[in-house]
Amino acid sequence: MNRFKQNKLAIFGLTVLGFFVILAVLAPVLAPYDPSEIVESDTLPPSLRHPFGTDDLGRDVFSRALYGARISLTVGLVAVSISIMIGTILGLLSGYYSGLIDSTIMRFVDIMLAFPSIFLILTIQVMLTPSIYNVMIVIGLTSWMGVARLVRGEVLTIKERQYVEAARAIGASNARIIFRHILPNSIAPIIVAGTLGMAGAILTESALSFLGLGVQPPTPSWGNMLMDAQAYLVDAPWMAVIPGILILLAVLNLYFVGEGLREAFSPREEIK
Amino acid sequence: MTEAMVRVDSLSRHFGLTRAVDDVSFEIRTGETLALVGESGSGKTTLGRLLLRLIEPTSGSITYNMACGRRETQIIFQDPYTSLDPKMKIGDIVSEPLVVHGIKRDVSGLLELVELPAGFADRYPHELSGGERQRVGIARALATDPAFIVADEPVSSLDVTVQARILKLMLGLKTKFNLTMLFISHDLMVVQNLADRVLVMKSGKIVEEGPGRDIFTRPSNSYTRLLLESTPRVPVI
Amino acid sequence: MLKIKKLTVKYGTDVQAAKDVDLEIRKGEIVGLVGESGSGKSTVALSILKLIGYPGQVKSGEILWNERDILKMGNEELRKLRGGGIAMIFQDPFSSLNPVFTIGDQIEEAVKLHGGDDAVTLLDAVQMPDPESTAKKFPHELSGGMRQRAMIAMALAGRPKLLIADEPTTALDVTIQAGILKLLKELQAKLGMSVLIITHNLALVYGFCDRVCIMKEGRIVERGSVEDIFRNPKEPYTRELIDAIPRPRWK
Repeated sequence: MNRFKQNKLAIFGLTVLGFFVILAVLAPVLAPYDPSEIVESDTLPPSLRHPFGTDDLGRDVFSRALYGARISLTVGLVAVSISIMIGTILGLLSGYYSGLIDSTIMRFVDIMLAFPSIFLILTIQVMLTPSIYNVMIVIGLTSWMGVARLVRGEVLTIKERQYVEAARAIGASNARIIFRHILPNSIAPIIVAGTLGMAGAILTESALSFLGLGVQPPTPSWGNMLMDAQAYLVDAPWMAVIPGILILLAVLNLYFVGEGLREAFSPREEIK
Repeated sequence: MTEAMVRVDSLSRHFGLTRAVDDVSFEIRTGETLALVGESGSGKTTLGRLLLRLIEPTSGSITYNMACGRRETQIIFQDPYTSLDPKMKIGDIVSEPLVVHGIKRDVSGLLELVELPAGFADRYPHELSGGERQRVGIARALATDPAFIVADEPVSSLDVTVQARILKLMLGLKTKFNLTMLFISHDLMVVQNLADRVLVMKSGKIVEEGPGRDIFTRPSNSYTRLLLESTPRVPVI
Repeated sequence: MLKIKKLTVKYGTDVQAAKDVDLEIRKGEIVGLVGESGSGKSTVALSILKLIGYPGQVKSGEILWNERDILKMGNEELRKLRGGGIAMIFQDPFSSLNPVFTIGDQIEEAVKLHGGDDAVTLLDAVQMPDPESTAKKFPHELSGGMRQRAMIAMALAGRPKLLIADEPTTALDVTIQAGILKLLKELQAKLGMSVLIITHNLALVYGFCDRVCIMKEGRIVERGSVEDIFRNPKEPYTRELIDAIPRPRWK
């Protein structure tokens, strides 16, 4: 914990993210306008009334950005949670039981990894009706493989530790050993993978929405705001710059936090 | 009364071509502490694991004269730094065997037995010293009132002054509970006060067996004599 | 010959591994530095050859080798000193030997840097059975005791005036320990070098060392000749250490 606090970049990242979360949660309160409401003439540059200007339909970009934060952060969080749950369970089983179970799961991982995930996601989204829900689920279902491998590696190491042998000697069941001993001791890399995974999920959602296969208008998402902004890059650059910067900030700060966590968790030499 | 609690008959354990334990036979009687002494590669650690059913023998048998099953045998590990789960509180570590076997017992009583304050139950292993952690390991082993305890080099990783204190503790507990124990060690001197009988192992075989006093004063095997002579002598003040 | 004056070493911001340590080693002496874990004995030993790395730092003090302060030496001079005037052997011979090179190669490396006898002669000097074929073997093919002898051979390559042995027998079986200590004592007598042995085992120093320094929590709490320490310990901690040595119960 202390080492994390010492990492200024990580603290900065955490602060910015915290700020984003607050903004997202309080969006209905903070947004001056309804994000779908056409309030003004279109493509107005940033001003006091519209800090981020208006978009091509005359909607307030600031309000859209706030609501967009809700979408992006929620999708990121849910998608990564799904991928972590699947990855952790499969990794635990694979690492602990070895043998046939391990081989089977790892081959499955290999198969999933063989698919270029972007194309897989795109294909699935084209087949289904894109919505925020299936975006979350699809991203979650296609990004658990790294976590599974990571967790499996941790389990293989921890399995050999003496306190696990002690638990076995006491007569603890496999389930107890896995959930009570191995899991808590392998949390560290899972959390790191979680922050980095969330960054990835946000990027993927943005890409999908940008292509029209993610969150559907009029619900604002940073990604589909970029889609709308394409035709107006010269005339109303703020329409693209704002969501672009927000995506960048979200992802970057998640990386700062993730790297900070990885640093803090990495084992130091024990000096007797 | 002094019948065999554990009987080992022609026990062997091979790892490929290596005979870690080679045709070993002996008994452990109820209430006695048997010391198993040997250097690295002697097979003593493997034998300990065999007796705890943590690994299976290649041939031979082990007979337990008590209600069989894990609950009746417990182990104290060598390294106090790695044998306790760093994510668990002391109280949970000590009570884990109770939880696993569905026994209710007061953890603070167990901590008291090993001379640790009851408040330690809420601490984590990294907050304790090596000696204190080892006491926790002992408390955990005693928790279910096991019939048989295997102590695998319990003091080898400890500082010399702490060693003396832990051995004293174990001697007290042995007498108080009439423990049946297998004490594994590479150091003959350490087992002097605790062992009723001693088995000396070398290369998987037992080279000498006898009551503590005999082994120390009249060793019949040359290897035993070598072990005794190798410990540095110090003047008595 | 070696004078450590008021050495203070810190790890990070709060741990003081060594506090104000004074230590002297004269020519031809065998000195023991005894302490339990955390006493700072290894820290002192590593400081002598300026081997303390981040996050450890020497905060103050001098280490004088023939009147020159080692801590102020430049890299060239330091390199010549390490393995040359002062050599060091460590606790675990397995991790101190490079697994991909033969014993002979590794000893030759030391010889190349400091001149002196060749590998086989050195291996013979450390009483290694069949030195010629041993030189061609790899570390994992040797037993613990033999590996430690190989380490000693490497250390002797540069004809050091001072040999620092950091827990040289701790990782070895007790029957092998005696052999290694005997070897070190013979080498010391034959080559006239000084030896600083670091150990947590006070019993070991009796019969091996001339003088002993007892360390506790970074400080030297008592020092004196081996006889004095054992027969007339002044500090309660020293007495505690002596009492903790298992004594024969019978006879």
